[in-house]
Amino acid sequence: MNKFGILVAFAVCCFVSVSADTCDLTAKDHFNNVEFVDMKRKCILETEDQIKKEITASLKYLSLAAYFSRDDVNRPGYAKFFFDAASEEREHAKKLIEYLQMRGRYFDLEDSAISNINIGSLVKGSEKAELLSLGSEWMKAPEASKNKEVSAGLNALRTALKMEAVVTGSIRNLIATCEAEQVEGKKNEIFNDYHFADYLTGDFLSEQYQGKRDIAGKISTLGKMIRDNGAELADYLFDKSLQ
Amino acid sequence: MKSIIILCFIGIATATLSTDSDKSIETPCPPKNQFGEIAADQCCGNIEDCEIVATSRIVDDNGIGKYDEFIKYTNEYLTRSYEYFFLAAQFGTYAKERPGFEKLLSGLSDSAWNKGIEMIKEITKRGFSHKFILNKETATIMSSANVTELVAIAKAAEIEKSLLVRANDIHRHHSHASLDASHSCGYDAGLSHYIAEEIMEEKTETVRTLTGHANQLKRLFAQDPKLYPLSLFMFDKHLQ
Ligand SMILES: [Fe+2]
Repeated sequence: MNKFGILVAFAVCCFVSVSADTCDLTAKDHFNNVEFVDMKRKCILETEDQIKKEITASLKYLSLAAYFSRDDVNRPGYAKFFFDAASEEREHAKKLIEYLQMRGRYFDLEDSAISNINIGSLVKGSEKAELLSLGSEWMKAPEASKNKEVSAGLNALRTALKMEAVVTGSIRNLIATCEAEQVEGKKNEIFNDYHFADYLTGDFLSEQYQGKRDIAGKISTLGKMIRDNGAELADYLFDKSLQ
Repeated sequence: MKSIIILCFIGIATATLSTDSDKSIETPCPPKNQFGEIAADQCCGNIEDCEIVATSRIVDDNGIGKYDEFIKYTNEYLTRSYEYFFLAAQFGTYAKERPGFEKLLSGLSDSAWNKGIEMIKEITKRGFSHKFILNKETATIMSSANVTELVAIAKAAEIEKSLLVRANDIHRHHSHASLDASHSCGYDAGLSHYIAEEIMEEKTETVRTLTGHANQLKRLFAQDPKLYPLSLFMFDKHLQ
């Protein structure tokens, strides 16, 4: 382990001992002041915030999947559904990163939220997913309620719908920011980031609305099954349809 | 003709169902002693009292958390996965433009994520729940997207090696016991096997590859710092 410590120290030294060109981080010198990055600051920072939310959602889904994997819960269908959802949220975070890269953002700037995320505490708080401000009733494991009218599955699907609704709202706010940002230093100039607004609307919002519709359909199907058959049998059967 | 017979059948079946009292409804009421240790008669009269305990556990936990180290280890994979995720991100920016390094690091991110999910399934196979508990060091892991190529590789090598060392430790914890050892000592041959075959085997390769890369880059730099940018360019090409 120490060997790598030395390596790291050695590599850091290269800032000091070698000309800036060798280890440069900004690469600004190569551009002769040609400005090509037009994405605006507030929009960028909010996008980075959105990335954190996507990650939080991925971990929350993971906590649901872990719950349904337990041998005393035994719902492999729900578990699969939520494991897949977790990986999907992670992909959303990746897509936003890739978009920022394409638009000329780089993440080594000091003001980038990307360089300053406490990942450990995000993972630790997977179940609560505090960043999404879901409210206390959605921040725990989806156990079945005592009155037997709400199965664990129904509880979890409602949590998922709630979460997707929060994320949808957050993306809408992001679009609003990015399509009307006041340009720094120019009082009357508003920048409309047409392309990003279009990307968010076409790609992200489409997926949000389709996702919400899918979950909502599942909730009403399951809800009707519970009413007619009781929560345990309904959950058992619905789980089979998800496998 | 066929349909009439079937109809008759349904008729008889419904008649039987509706005339029979609750007693004939099948209850999980086995002949005495069929389940050995389970008190079978408990499950007859009152279903509410039926306490059949089915668990996949072969290790008694006794509240000590015998699998806690494995669970923390799983959570370290999830955390490291996102650490790699951001480490990779910077190499895809125009300023860095190192697609090879980005590919290497995001590959590490993907495999840590997938392995983390696999390990959650592995612990639940054993009758234990996954919890989001982290050891101290993992809990403080921050994203960092501001390092050089060599530092990124060295860091990845260090992380992968520490994961390998930890796997080795956890393997020892689950694979040492005597014949008479109690079931709460934590011995679990299946998990040990999983750790050795599904984690350590692959991890050993990864560590070797990364330390190789780190040493190569170090020598390239040492030989001629002025040529290092070109060396990095070529090295990145070969990583792609
Ligand atoms: Fe998402």
